[in-house]
Amino acid sequence: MDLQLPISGAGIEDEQRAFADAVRGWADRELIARRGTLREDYDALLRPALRGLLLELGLQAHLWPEAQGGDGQRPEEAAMTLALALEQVGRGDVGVGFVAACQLATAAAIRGGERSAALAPLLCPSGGEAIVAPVLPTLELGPPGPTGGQGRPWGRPAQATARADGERWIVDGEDTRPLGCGQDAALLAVLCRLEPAGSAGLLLVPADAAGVRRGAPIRQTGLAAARNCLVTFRGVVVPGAQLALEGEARGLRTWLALFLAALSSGALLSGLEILGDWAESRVIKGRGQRFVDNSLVAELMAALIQRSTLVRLVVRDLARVLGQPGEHGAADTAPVSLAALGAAQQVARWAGEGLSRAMELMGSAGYATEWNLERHWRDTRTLRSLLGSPTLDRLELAACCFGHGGH
Amino acid sequence: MRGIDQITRPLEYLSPMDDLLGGIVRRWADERVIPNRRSFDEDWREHRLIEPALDRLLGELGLQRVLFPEELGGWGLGHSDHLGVASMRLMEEIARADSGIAVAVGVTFWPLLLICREPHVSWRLCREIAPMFCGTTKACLAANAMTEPQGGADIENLDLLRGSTITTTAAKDGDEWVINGHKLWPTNTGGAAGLLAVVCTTRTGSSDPEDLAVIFVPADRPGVTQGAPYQKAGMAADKNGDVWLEDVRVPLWYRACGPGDDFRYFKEVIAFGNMGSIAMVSGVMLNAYEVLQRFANQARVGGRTLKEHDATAGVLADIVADLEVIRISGYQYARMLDRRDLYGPPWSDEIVAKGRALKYSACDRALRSLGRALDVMESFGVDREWDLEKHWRDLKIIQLWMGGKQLCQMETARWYFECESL
Repeated sequence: MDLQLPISGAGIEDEQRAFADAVRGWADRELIARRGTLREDYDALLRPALRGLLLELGLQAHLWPEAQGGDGQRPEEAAMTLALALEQVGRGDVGVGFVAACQLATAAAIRGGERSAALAPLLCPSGGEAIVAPVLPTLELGPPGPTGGQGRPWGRPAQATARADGERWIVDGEDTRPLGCGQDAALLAVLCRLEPAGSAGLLLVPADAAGVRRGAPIRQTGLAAARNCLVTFRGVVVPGAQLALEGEARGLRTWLALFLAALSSGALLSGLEILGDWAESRVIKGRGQRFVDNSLVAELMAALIQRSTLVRLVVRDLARVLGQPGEHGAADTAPVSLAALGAAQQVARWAGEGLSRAMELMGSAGYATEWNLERHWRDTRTLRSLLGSPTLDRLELAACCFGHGGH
Repeated sequence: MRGIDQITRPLEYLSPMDDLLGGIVRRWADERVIPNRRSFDEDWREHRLIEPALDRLLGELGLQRVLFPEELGGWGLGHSDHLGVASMRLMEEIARADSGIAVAVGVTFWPLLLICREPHVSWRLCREIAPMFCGTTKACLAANAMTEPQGGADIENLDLLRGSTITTTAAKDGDEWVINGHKLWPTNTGGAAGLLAVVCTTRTGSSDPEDLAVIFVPADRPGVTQGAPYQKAGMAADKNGDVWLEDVRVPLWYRACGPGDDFRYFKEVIAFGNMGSIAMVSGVMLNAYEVLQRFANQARVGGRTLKEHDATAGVLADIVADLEVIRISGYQYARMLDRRDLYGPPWSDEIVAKGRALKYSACDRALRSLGRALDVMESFGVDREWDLEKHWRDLKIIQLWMGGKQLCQMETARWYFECESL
């Protein structure tokens, strides 16, 4: 059963297709063939898969110059390659792809900056995987903290502060919530409010630095590979060179948006494959009628294929936008960043709704863990929540388009 | 602060007993379930946390006795013309804490309706079965063994298939039934059920309603095997598994209502199932409202609490508006089940179709609302600490059971548009 409709391959080179095919084969072998028995077992399935993806397939080194131990790809050149590859990883396990996405988005945002050469050993260490936990602004709970609101109706405050102390920074933040990976990260990419200037900056903080303390686990609906926990920073000393980016690190969110959109697309593709396999052997209404021959079912399944096609189109177009900064603007500019975030939120919603409809068709098999469909549904829901509230982000888009954002 | 009791209920439908019972269940939920429910997902196989909560509610507080006649130690609600509304209230309160427990309780009542509810009370079976439920302070769960491997929801599609796809057979042998077959997914199986109501046929392939039989089988009868529970996306308190019946023997009078009547009154079971499902959706949404209230009062963006943020307040308003509609429609349907004088018998095709329509509409509406609530809460929404994601997972299962949305659509279209071939 062919579950994909043709879409334009403009701008996709043979080499990029070949890499995506290699990742597809890897996902089939290492994740899809094994997840039926190992489910979401971190030690037996997910962690080995992460090592394979980051080190053996080489995703971790993809964006770093050869001189720094990498493959020498620039982010804009690699946008399509990585989108296609992560789509295939998402077919296997969205959580594994999410961990890679955090690492790649951080690298993409930093790469090319003044300090990237100095930071390469942190993000691309020789011989080991560098799991990165982004600690980005989030909704604030409880009384206002030292980081404060930003005075804009969509403004989530930074979760930590970094105080200048000569050539170094002193980082503080209580019970911060990483986007994911807090438990296993070697590196925390912390968007801090810089003091005394009051501006923002992205600091790379090794997880084993003195004063970094991991707290209670955060048990999330999905993304079992990205085990998370609260992280507290108390007087953590960070060398000045580890201020990777000055400003709000929009680029990180932009790249993350592309990668999470690709993962959502992969999850929906996998959901269609699962539904297709399941449907082949089903009959309904006791008359020997094949499940897929029923018009209600057939219409719904076709709608899912259309939805998946739409999702793949948006992901590829977003990759093209990020691949052409000269034409559309750089990833860290507001219009591109807001376009990426809005597209990713929409894609995650479409994918989640598609998986939800697929579950409806499969009935109890849809929510039984045995079929792995519900896991994609939980994972895409988690991605959608981590991408943030579309309501709030639309206010920033409104401000960008109309010059104000209301309140 | 305003709370869930300000969400509209049609007070003219409620009896004083409803609030008394509802209050008892709410206290149980607040004390015994809500503090532990975040660990229920890990308890899906063993029920170390869940079983004591069920023992308290069903055994010690006695909820498992409600349908049986007073003469047999029950509360006599089977005779009441308030059973629908009382059930709505109870299921809603239980589901506010945990809809998995709500379905375990609700499905226990399901087969008992066939023998405890007027006008089809079977005193002989009530006398036989009542001690399992009324003579103990331990929870006793029942299962409605209906779904089979080959047919999914075909058996519930009564109007179209009339039992013709059922492969579980009941053959007469002297004064006993001999039952053989394989059932999948009944709630309260996986080793939990003490009593099974087996939906079977007395003539394989027959679409004659007289051949559809519902036969009670104590789960400890020789030949009954319950498999291990399945692992699911949620609803850990509801154990589901395989049930194999191999030459299981029970007396002939263990058949629920008799030829023709089993078929007829099984539709009443379906109607109550739809009402119970809407009650659970309502309960889930009530607790979602509580969670959102707490969150929107604490969380801040742009220097304001979320509830004072106009754009977010619009979303919150949509969610509570959906809850109002779901709750009032659930109570209306429950009252329709009670008022046969106005709406006809609860086993009629009309009542079943209206239940299907309201159930799938409530599920769709609630899923959309909970999705938006999760959006509002950003990363906190998918954090188990806030309970909203649990309700979202459970709600999806409510939507999918009893034939799922598509069967609901077909039964709805079939009645309202008088379809002849669906």
